[in-house]
Amino acid sequence: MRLDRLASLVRSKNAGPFQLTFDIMFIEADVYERVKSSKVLNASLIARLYDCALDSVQFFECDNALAFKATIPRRRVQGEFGDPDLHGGQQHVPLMAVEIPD
Amino acid sequence: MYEATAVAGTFRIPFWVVPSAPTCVTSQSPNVFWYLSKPAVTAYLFREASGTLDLQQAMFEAATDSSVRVSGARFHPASAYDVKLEGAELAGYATVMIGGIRDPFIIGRLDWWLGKMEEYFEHSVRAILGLNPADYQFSLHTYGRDGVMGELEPERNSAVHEIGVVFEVLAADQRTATEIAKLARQPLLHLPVPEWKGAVTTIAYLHNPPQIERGPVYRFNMHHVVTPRTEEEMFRIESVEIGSRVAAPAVARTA
Repeated sequence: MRLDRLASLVRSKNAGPFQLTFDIMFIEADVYERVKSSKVLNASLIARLYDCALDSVQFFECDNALAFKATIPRRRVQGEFGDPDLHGGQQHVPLMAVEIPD
Repeated sequence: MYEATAVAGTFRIPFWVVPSAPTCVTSQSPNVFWYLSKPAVTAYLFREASGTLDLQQAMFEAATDSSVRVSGARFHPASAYDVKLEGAELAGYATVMIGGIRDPFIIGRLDWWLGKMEEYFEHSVRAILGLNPADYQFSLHTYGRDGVMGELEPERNSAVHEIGVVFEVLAADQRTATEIAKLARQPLLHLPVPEWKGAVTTIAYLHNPPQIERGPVYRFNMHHVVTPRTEEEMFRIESVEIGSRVAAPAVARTA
């Protein structure tokens, strides 16, 4: 099933002017556990979807928050000439389609 | 939304303290809020200038339907006093033009067509203004295709029937930026399309004239933590004596 059908929230946002962060949150613990145990969400996935070096990805599994969090360097510093997303809030869409096996 | 960032070394690590909307506090009891509301659930230590913010024992509790009480956060002062520096600098002056492309023949070969347009444009700027590509920057955002995600867009080849175009140029001064933009105006408007035999108008500009002067544009240029020898070293202190019968001159002191 697609991640956006399972998660209560998938979002992206600037984390300061140099980094972009993603939050993937859940309401039900069993759904979170299902996604976590699928091992689909990890630093390599983020590196692949967002075309960045694996060692530049910070990835967190926050069991007590029923959430995953990933942070990557911004391709352009916030507000730099040509930066297409000032607040970084529309960069989460590739994560929505991530398929989690049943 | 309550979000915060904290300095860790010389870069930032984000964290969140409540869900996306305050109403989630009570209306979605199983939401992350409650899981964060337990003590020591998420061990986060954030290195700030001059100390560490310790959220390991922080409690996040619903105070009302729309507010959150945060308690138990601690700050551990560092042994050294340090100062965070953030700075920005003038990058130049920008001029933009907004328009739309609807012709499917152009959309069908948009990369090719824009490539030709850029070639023509850069040649004109060199020939007429004597400026090389190193003297200015320009960007073409193509909304409807990859305007939001740029190079990261996984669906840039999806079928679309309309493209929003934002052309932007950055130059050393406003007049130059606008002069350069004017040289992009014509090729965006009339660059030939092979499928059509004869003169065509290829973009629907939103404004007349299409160029809009955006003014000065800035960019981040500094993001550091400095450990000075003394707390005063980095700051200029001026003391003025007030109340004496004869006005004392201002004394400037640099530590």
